[in-house]
Amino acid sequence: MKILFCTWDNICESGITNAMRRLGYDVVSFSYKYENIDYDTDYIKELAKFIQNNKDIDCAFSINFIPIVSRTCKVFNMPYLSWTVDSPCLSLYSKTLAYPTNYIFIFDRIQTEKFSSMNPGHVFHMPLGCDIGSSVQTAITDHERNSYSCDVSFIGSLYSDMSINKYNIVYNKLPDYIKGYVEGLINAQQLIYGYNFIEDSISDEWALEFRKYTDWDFAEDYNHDLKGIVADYYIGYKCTEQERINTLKRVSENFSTDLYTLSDTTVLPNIHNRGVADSGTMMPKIFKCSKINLNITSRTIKSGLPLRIFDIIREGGFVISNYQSEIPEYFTPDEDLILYDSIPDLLNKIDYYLSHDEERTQIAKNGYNKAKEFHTYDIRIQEMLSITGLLPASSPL
Amino acid sequence: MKIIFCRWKSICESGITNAIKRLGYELITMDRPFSSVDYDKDYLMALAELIKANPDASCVLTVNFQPIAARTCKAFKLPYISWTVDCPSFQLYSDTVAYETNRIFLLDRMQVEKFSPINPENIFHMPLGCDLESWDSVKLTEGDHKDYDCDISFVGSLYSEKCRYNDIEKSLPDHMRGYVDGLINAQLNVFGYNFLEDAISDEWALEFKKYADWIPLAEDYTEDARGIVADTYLGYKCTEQERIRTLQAISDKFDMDLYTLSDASMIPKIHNHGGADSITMMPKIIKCSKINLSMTNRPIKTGLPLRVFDIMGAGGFLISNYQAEIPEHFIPGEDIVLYDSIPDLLNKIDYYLSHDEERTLIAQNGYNKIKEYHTYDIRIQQIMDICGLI
Repeated sequence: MKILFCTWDNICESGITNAMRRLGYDVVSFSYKYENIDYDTDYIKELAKFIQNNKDIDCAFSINFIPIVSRTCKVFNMPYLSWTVDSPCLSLYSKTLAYPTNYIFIFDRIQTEKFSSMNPGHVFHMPLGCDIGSSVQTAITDHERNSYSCDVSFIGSLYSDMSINKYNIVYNKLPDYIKGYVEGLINAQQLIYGYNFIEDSISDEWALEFRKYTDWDFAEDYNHDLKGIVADYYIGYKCTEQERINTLKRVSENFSTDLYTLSDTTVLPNIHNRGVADSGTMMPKIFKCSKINLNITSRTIKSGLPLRIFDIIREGGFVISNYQSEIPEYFTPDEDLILYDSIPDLLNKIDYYLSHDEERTQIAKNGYNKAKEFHTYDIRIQEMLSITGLLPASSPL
Repeated sequence: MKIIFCRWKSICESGITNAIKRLGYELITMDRPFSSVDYDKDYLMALAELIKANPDASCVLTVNFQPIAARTCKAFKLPYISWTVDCPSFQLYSDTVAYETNRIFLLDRMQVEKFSPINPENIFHMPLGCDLESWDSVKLTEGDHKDYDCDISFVGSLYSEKCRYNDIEKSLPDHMRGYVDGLINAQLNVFGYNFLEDAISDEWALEFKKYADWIPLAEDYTEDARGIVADTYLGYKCTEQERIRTLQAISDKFDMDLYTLSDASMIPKIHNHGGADSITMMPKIIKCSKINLSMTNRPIKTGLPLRVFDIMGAGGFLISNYQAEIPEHFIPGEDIVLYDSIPDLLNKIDYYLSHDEERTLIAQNGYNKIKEYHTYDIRIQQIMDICGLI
């Protein structure tokens, strides 16, 4: 089978390419840079040319749903498989989502439910996975071990940056009533894991009022889900920012904590800000050398497992994560990883596992074994190809 | 055993009185209103006289905790048993709660956790109960059926008149008003965890208090501004919004009867029959309704409101919001039906209206469970047992 992989420098692409090749598929990658994900006609022309020159391609594949790829594949009547690894993912609102050639895989079940009515029978839930198998064991020098060893670490953004957190851009323009409403909602949401109620707690009228103070525009052939956009891109990111700051503040006040981030951390005086961590080279080593790797899922991921969990487990790292409703479907809490459901609970669990080396090591090992058996990219790719009908459903791995 | 029961016209008192008599205890009653639950000297003198006249009395009993009774019993070193049936109950903030002679029973487990540090040995959890015999004695006539037969009913306040928040809402700064609306709209989506108090800070509560301007508690009270704001203002407001929105959603789709003294003009499709007397009318309404609804007042965080016992004890079929303590006593889907969102509630109403046998069976199971485990007779025995009096 020949797979056309439309790449755009996403961090999941190399692992997935490795897995496809390992499975014996012929992978050709198309890496033309697009200017606009919806209407870049040059991209469409180049992609069309590429498909015409490779007549034996069975399907196209991309990380996240890319409308221009969808448009091209529709013309060629070619199956287009996309695996969405981001939540929210704006392009899912594109009306091209409805094309019959699309097979849309989404890592978050709630997001899947939201979009499945746009293309019934073509939108599927597919959790993320690990690139286990091909990878050479991550080698660590003594120097690196010295540098990265720590009690607790977190790698990720604080979401305070205005390029992500649009709420911080509009904040000064908002009337006091709306500011208060958002703060009330966010302070309530931070007390609850496993149910994101932000979108359910605002009305259409409220979203419309909020809209007045913002200046985003929907592309013309997009479904205008005002409430969804406000809930995710504004309130959801703001909630993630507040949650990460509040959580890391409490953790770093009580434990030695390393943070790898590009964000400003002046609000966290006790944390060791280690600056940015390159995801290819440094991140795996940090996961391996941290006694405890923390996962604080972005609130915009409603039920699913963020990539960070799989990345940590792939390196044999020990994870303590906030509760997300899908986690127990894939990993057994307290056996493969640890979940918390409040900040005091998190502090207790960090305290406990820092002083119980054997349990910690065993849990990390269990998590790795579980992922190796059930959650590799190889397995996910076979599942997606089976669902699409490109492989017989019972095809052995 | 001799019990001095000080009554003040709480609706639970007649049932408790019947139970004590049925159990064969000697009952001395004092029916007297309080001019102040804290400092009514005449009350104190009268109760002291009664205690002196009955030196063989084992304890004094009241519904809800009454500081004036606590003071009297402390002087006589006599056990003072109170059973709180309200939540919130402001008297629990009184410093007299700490007296060693108190035996305080609370209906809500979260309320117990909150107050037990003040008197750890003497604060207990005790769910409410039911005076089954008096419900059993209610017989329906043809006229009753004509008056009360309906698909769904709710008997209770819409809280608009009880909700002090409504009096001050307009005076609040915009940011604060927004904060409250955000919190309440979030809370309305969540059953089983009341996060209102956890989601406000002490500073925020004190700022809110400037506008709320409530009458200061008596001087020997420990004021918990955050708790008061969360329960009496935000909690009641949340209850009001929840009842209005839930009843609007139901009455849009189903034929629904409401018995309330509140203004219900914002729910135009509901059949508002006005107030229902809790002794004479309510049991008949319960028995004549295919579905009885319970929406727990939000300040009751985990416990079962009296309405649950009333409905099940009268043999009614009950659909209630999820409360954390309900599954400890009743099996959802067998004895009672629980909902955890308005869409869920509408689905369940639809289902049970068209499944008569299941509905009847569930009501019967609920009644049997009340009879076996949750009568006032059983509760009084449990209370006396915990107090070491039997």
